[in-house]
Amino acid sequence: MSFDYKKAIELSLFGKDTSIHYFYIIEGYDYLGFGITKNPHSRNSDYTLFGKVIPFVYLYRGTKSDINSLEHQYKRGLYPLVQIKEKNREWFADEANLDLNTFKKMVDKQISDWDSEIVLCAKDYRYTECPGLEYLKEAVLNEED
Amino acid sequence: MEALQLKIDTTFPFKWKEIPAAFATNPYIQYYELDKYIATFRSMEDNFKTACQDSEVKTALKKLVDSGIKVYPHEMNRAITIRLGDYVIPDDLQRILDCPHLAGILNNFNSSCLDILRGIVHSKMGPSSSDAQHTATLIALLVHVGIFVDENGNKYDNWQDYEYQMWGRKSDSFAECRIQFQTSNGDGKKPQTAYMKIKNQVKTVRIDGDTSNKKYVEIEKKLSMAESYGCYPLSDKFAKTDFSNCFSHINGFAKSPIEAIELACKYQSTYFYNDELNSVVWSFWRQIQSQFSLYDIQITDKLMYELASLVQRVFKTNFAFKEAVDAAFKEWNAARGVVTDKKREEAAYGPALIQMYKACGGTEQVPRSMMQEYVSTDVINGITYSLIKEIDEAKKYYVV
Repeated sequence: MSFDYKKAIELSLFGKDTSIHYFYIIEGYDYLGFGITKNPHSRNSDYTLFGKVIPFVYLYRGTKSDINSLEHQYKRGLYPLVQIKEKNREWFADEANLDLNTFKKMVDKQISDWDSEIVLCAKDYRYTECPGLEYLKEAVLNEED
Repeated sequence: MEALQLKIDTTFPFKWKEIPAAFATNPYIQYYELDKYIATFRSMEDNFKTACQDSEVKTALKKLVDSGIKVYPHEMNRAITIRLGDYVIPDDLQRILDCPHLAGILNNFNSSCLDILRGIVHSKMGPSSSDAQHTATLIALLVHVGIFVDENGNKYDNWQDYEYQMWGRKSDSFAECRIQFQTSNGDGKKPQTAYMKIKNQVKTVRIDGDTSNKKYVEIEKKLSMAESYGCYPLSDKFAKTDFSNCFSHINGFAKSPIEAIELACKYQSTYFYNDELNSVVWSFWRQIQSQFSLYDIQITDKLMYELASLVQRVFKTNFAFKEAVDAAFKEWNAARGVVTDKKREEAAYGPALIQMYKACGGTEQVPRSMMQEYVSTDVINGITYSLIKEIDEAKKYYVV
């Protein structure tokens, strides 16, 4: 059996705490995209293109259910999506007519409508300048930050 | 809002929050077709043009032309008139006669649904069935009892001499029979979707006014119930677009009794009107309705409000509730040392919701049976494994 480095890193970084999940908004490949992950560091590195880091413009943190629910709102088929590079990486198609600010406002409104404990924990998150996952688990950013 | 006028139980930690409706009118309504007649017809010319322009069809057709195949008129299947008494059923390729199936057809008898027989005309055996032995038997019975009569209304002398049409051709190859059997039993055919099924059933009743089929009438009643709460099935075209209050899990809807459909749609349209009607909603209301009625316990508006509050405050959506129970089911099995490939169990949603409700301090009466499911005890070590203890998001609220 081969050693699963990815799993080992995940465990060392997160311990057994699987309840924390992250929702990210990303701009790259001429598209606006989003996704969820337990490990922003590893996921952000997945988007690297020929060494160029594509940051998560906004990174939110919440419970697994809240983050699942949030992602589900944009994967219900109400907004046309395209998949590029890899499957299960969601990007809005041009016909969705969504820009970053509009999408961010939609996300924030949804969080507020639900009174969810989802918080914004990082902006322009790059795995190469990783602020540390322990930090992400605690960080709360204000809009002005 | 009716829900907010309920007397709120102070021991229960969750209060449903009213969220502004995303749309004043459901945008899917403009595409909804089950309540209207579509008065358009497509010509064969249209279909021919569409097929000719399709790249996949073009490639397949070219391959066939290049193979040099030719089919002559005498090789074509055609309708052949046969004497019913001559029709034989090869045991080697046909199923045994299914009398309950036959009785089912008789119970819903409709002469317009009678199909043509299928088979080959064998040089020694004569007309040999490749399919429709039940149809042939049914016709024999109907002739025998005098339901099928001649032009003058007279009973036929016997069913054996009755003539009926068989689709096939002359052949001594039973391989053809086998292939026909496979084809007429679905092999290579595009299966009817669950939506198409209810569409035709409902339109038979609504548009054509035909109420002779009890099953169709029942489905129409169920749909009317769902529509009365603003809940609609998504057509195949929109199956991946989860409009609010709409559902694509047609089988979940169709197999639910009308009482469960009313509960599910009321719950959906009162509390989760901005979300799609997730398949889990059918599942847990079907289970709750069935168990509560078994124990003759009333499902109160207060219980529905509190269940909705729990789902909304803890999981935000029914989708996430389902995901959480699925994940817990996996963990629960692992904790008990049960090895299974099952990633989810539909029957777990109702008991999990009711058990969480009670664990969070819910005071409405619930059936004892629902509290005992997905709970197992290791008698030797004195450990109790409960599925809901594996639901991380909810367990911090458990007081019992």
